[in-house]
Amino acid sequence: MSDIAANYTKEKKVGEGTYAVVYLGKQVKTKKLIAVKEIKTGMFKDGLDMSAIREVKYLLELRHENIISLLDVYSSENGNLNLVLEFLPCDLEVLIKDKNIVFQQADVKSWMLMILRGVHHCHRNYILHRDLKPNNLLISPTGEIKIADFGLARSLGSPGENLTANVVTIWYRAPELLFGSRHYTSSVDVWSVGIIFAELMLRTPYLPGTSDAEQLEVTFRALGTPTEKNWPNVSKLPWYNSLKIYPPPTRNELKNRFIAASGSALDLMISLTQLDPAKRCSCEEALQTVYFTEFPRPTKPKDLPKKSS
Amino acid sequence: MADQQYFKSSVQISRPFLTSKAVKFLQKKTIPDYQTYKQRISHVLSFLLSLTRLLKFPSRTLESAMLYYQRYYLFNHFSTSSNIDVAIAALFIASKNEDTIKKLRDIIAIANPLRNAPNTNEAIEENKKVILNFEKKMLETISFDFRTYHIDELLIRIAKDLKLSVDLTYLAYMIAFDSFQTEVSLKTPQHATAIACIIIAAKFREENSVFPLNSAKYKCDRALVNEALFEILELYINNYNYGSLADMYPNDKESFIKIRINIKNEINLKDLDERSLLNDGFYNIKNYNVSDTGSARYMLGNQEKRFYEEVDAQENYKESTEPKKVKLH
Repeated sequence: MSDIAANYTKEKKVGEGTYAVVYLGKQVKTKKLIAVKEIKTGMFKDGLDMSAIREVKYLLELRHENIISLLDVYSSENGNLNLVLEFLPCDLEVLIKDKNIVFQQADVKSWMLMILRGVHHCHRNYILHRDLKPNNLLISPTGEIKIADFGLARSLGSPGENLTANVVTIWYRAPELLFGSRHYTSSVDVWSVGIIFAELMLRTPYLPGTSDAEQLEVTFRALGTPTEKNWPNVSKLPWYNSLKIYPPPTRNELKNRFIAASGSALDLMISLTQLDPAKRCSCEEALQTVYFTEFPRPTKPKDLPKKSS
Repeated sequence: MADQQYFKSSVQISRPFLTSKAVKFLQKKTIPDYQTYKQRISHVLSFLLSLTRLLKFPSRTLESAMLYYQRYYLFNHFSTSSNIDVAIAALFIASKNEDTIKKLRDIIAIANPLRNAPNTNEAIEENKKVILNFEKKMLETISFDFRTYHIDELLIRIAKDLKLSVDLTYLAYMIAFDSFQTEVSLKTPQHATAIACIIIAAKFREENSVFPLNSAKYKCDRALVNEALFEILELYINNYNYGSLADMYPNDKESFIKIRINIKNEINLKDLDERSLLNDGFYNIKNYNVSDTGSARYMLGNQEKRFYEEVDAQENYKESTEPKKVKLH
């Protein structure tokens, strides 16, 4: 151990969640803005929260331009753990909800590209994020998407290991999770990315269920009910029972729902939201589709729409 | 800004593995009677094993708990009055980090009967406070470094790659379990330990077709494997009855001595000299006052370059203000 002069200031409280308080501050040397996430601990919290452990564990090692960087880990005077993160003033949900902003096709493409690159980086390091949603996709002052909130992340389970199905906010939850599967892979994140893609085009949540049961209903009404025919062995999953059978949507129906989507955009969305996780594409495959190489070119991050204030 | 506050801090880097000398050097400061400590480790392992079974934790949780327990006593004073609480805290952190979380209350309620402690509501609450306090200290001791690898996972993969028989792999697996009570996890990474377990199993069974075993294929330095080999064999030679092989092969202690003699000329890791240990601030006993009065900052080894840059900058600053300085590496 050695004494190091003060590095950061903590200035203003900007938010509070169940397990952390977030402050705005500065890196003293560079005057750069930072966010400090102070983890609450205490008798009733059973020690250090597991989300904090996960966040520290994965963010300390992941370095990517589309993933939030964890600059430092501190324990402060009061014994609480502090995570110093880069400061990101906006998130994708804010932009989606801001009706004063018009999204161009090229903007959506640019965001999708950055999201997929970030998620791909997690997956190639065998890390599942498990909570992808617009509100966890933060936006830097220069317009870059940064994937944040690794509180539910975990490394890919080894075969035979049981994982919990109770992950991902329900609107973005893949069907295998809705069926209570204890074994799943990075394809759960791919599904979330597909639903976010749909939301970027619709400007409203694509599958907004209000409960676990209704989420199944909403999901399958939009994308068809999985059967043994299009998803072998699906009926063996724990919560697969007494489902109302909806036919899968035809391409035309999807075309009508996503009016502005080009053919290749629709293709990409369809392969991201395949019901059978084995048929869903990987991030790598998604990044190599024609959608990203055809015109229009993705907007440069600095030219993307910003929060109107 | 009115409520602006500055962090005053110290910084600590995580070093997941230490040399034998460094381990001895630290234990000399924290453990008054090494013999008692050794006996306790074997007891702690069997205690945590029973607890792990009742809680239905996988063996990887037990493995991490044993590592945290031993690591804790490199930097904190050992005492037999609290070592079981420390062990429970270690298992609790491991259960969080290995995604097998259970409420601390539930863990204590199952642990108390095992250690003949009262299991009333008040006792559990009291216990919880004690253990959460140890949890905090332990997290600081491990520098919030939650990276984990597991011997058995790697062992099985390497055994498959070597096309070992199930029988031989099982023996290696049992040796890996016994290694939890040695200090091998403080010293060598898990793939080296896994290869060492396979080597011991194969030598013991005289299955020579396994050799020569090219550890480089598994990205592992031979000296690391040898380090792990010596460490594990020491358990069988000095405390055969503590290991689980004693139940399976009660009369075979001699063969381990023979294995050890046959490899006595193998090279192991270069160790540090005493002076570099004395001059390195890392090897100081944990002083919680630093994080009580200022704040402590934690880094993983992947930031080592930045760590030394900051430390050197600080050293230069100190040099200009005070005559005496302590060098850190």
